[in-house]
Amino acid sequence: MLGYDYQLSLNAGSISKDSSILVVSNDIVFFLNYYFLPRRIYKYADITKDADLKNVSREKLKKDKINYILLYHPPSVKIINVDVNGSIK
Amino acid sequence: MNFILALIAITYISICGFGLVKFILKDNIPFSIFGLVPLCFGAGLGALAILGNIIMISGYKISFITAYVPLFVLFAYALKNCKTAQKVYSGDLLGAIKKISWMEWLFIFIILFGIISVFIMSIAFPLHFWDSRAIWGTKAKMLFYSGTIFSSDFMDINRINAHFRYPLLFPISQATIYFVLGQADDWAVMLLIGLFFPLMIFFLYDLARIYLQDREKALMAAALLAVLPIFFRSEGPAYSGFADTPLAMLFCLSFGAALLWKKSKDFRMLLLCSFLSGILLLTKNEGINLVALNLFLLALPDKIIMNKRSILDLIKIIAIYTAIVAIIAAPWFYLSHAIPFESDINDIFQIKLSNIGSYIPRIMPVIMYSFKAFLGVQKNMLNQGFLWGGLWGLFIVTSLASILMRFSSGIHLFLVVLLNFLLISAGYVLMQITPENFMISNIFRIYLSISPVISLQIVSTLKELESDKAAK
Repeated sequence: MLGYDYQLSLNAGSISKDSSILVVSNDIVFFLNYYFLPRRIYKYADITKDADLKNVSREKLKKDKINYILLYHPPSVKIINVDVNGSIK
Repeated sequence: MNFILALIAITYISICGFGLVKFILKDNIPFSIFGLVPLCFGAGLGALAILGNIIMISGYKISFITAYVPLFVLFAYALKNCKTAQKVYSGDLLGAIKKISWMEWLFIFIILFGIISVFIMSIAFPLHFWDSRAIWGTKAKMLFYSGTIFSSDFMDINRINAHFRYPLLFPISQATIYFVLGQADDWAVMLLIGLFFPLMIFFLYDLARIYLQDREKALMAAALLAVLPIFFRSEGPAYSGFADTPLAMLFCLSFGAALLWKKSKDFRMLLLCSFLSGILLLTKNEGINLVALNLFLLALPDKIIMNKRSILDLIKIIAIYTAIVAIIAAPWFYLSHAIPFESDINDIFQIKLSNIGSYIPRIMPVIMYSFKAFLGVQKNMLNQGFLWGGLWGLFIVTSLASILMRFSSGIHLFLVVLLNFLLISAGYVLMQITPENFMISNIFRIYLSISPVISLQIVSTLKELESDKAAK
């Protein structure tokens, strides 16, 4: 019951508390907020697949101060860094 | 350690609630310890939610200082009047223990089994149900971290969100525990969540005891609810951290005050009922139905008399009740409409007169779905039909008996339940929700609030049948 979510909360602990995270998922991810707060979780309506990431402008990432991108496709979960210029590493 | 701190926070809030109850009722507190403790707990949470909304609307943030220090006024008032609480404790508890029959012991065993089960299931795990994390727990954490809805957490439309226009009593009460702990501990908060159901059962017992003047029937009413499967096995059981059981508990308090006002005509009980009804709107949007039910009960005459005095009295009751409810709810309505997200599915403000034509074809499907849901014949609902554990069957029998035998109390309670059914059906018709999808998963939770009234109607009719038989 708690297994996967518990793992997620442990992952959240490794990310700085004042960071912003963009979630890429075609799932309903409301509950991610619960585990990642006070980190700010963003989800753009048109970004549901990893391939959609190329459509996101650097300006938008910079505007929302996105530091990380969470590729959330359970059971696969991956976190990517975003640099200060909005470039995805 | 966190559980102990959470217990201290809950005790502080409840003592503040006692101060408020004492301020409203003065020396006319009819409850024993079983009714007084839930009442103080509910009133304390209500005071906290009102205070929280006022803090946010004033541009400040909810924090340990801003939440706990203003409440100290109520706390000090409660301590000054603690002799009343001592009198209630020593007087009625001893009386209650004396001369318990074997039937009463059976009911007590059933009640204890139900409430202990729910409480243990609550504190056995951290918060883990979907809505309890995605909606209520998330907002509690947001309030803990940012202290106000005027923050990026609530206002940034690119952030993920779930029903951010839902009222904040439940999240504020959770956040208040986090303030004491200094951290968001989703296990310690289960202590708060686990208390709603036991306290509702205790209050129902005490309400029925005062209303019917019959301890055995009061225990029966509480026992009927204490093991009702819907509180254990539905999508949002009593230990889940959903806001449905808190709403049911707070409605039970306000409805109890309305019922006792009808019996005593004590103006202070009307004030208490109005206050408790107001906080229903701060708990869940569905609370608006329950506010209407309380008003209906208050306005329902014992005998139909049409003269100038009775009409003026009726207008006075409606005016006082509506004014108090509006004053309590107004800050929240202002705050909720400051949030830039679209209206939620059950937001009353989404109803538009221009859509009236589209509502009519929805009436029959909604009513049919409601009936199918209760009978448990809807696809995927066979299991859920069992969740009411025969309560509706008993209710239909006792309602018919009340109508045939003209029992005023039974008929009044039956009309309240009937009105609830009509209001919920009207809600489904007006809110543009797809009944097929929404009702399958949610209808049981939405009707959960009315279950104390159903239980009370059943025992009230049995009591009236007994009295009728004795009179013959």
